[in-house]
Amino acid sequence: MHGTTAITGIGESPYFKAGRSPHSAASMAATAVHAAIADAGLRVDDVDGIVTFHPDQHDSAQLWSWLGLGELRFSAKAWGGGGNSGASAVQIADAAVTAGYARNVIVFRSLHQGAEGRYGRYNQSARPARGEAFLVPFGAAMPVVKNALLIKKFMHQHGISQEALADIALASYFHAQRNPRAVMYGKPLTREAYHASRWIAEPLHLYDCCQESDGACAVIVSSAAQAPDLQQPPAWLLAGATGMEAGGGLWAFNDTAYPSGRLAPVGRQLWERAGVRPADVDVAQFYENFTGSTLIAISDIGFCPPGEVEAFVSGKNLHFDGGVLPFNTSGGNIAEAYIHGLQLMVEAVRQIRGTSTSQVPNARLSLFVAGPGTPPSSAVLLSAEAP
Amino acid sequence: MSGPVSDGPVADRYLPADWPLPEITAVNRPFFTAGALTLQRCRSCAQVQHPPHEICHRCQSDAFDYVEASGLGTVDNVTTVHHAGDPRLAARVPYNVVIVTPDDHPDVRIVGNVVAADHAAIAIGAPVRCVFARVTDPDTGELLTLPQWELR
Repeated sequence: MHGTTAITGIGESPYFKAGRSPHSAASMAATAVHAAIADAGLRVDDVDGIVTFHPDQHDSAQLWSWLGLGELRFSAKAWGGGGNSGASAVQIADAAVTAGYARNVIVFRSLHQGAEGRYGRYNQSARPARGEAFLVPFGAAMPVVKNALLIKKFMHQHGISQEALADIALASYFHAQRNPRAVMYGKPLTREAYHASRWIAEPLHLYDCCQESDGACAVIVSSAAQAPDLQQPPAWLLAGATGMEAGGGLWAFNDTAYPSGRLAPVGRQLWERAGVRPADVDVAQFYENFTGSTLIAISDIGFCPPGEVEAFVSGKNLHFDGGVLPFNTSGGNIAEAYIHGLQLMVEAVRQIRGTSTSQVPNARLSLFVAGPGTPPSSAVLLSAEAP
Repeated sequence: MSGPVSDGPVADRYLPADWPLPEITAVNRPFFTAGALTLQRCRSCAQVQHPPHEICHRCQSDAFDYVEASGLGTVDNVTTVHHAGDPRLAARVPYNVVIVTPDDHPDVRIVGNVVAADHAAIAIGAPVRCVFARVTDPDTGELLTLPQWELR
């Protein structure tokens, strides 16, 4: 850690609304992975490890061979709930390269929600078991319902209004209008349209929900010895963190973190390891499955107390051009595409390289936060300078 | 607690009959079949935990009693769901989902529904009482008693 690795390559397939991609998840994975290898200036045989999370469509160690890759030396999957594990996967790759188990590890995610089923729907026939047995029979089945409850309680406890949710959605759409790759490019959102949109589960409107998408993206984590000699400016991995409180994993809203706090242990680890403070961060990508989750994440990880988060996100505070904390500068899950949040990691790297469509001038510290949904949650902090 | 179902207050199931029922296991059977609000208590350290699990999260014992709570509670949280998200719910929206804290076990949170109430009346802090929807398990024939809630 602390500069033993860097992200040296990034790759993406085109992003589509769910069901619109003509290519399978495997095909899009191949596109993203080989784009990342080429972007780094590596040869196919230089890549020797793979990490993913939530691999519902394919076993990535098996997919490896269809990707045409060489001898495999490391593979792992990050545990945890869906998009919460995106930064964990990068941290695992960092740990593997730091330990010398592999030299160049791919972290990827590919999903075709048209083929595997839209994440916003339930549509399961098996009887729910374990913790789900205490949620699904009462209608807390779709992710939006569970998150609406968390967000409702957080807003109630801290006196947060609907405008704070609108501010998250509006910042995401603002940045997506500058990103031609974003699914919502050319579809600007106004505050009036936000408030006029239909309820999904109160307090969440349509525009509070992330998209359902088809697409793939990948990053390559490389050893520090190689990184400076490769094709792109390295995005140095300053720190990674995964975690939750004691009792954070208990089921059905009986976790100790409820409704907030799930990212607090991650923040404590991250800032201590990196030796910086939240105020030092130049640009941040937050996994926003729903707008209000981001309010919880911003306060949990240490940018402000929960009672101040509405003011923190208000106005243009999240905009790339002069905001206090430029946020989701590619449009994020809400307005770019939902590749389980890993596309936010790609954007965090672009900010370090200076190639974002909403580039923060002289961005030196670039943050990716995954969570706070089903714990454990995770985060990665990138630096432009070799630590 | 495997005795006969007690005569707790009865309500219709709030969600449609074809909406999923829980998989019934040894540890969750008392909650879903007792006909009274029934919580799992560790025989070793007396920790009450919900949902029930194979082991106690406090002391890791696997020996439990199942204790009857008063059935009186308070709405801790509520959402009104407008988008069905599944065809089986299409005719039921908008529906409510609540989290209730039992008054005699305030550290426990139970997810459920408030039956027969206007959405606007179901607010955080509202007092509720447990009622039971009797449903015959379509796979086993067992009588289930799903805890639901009504405003009091």
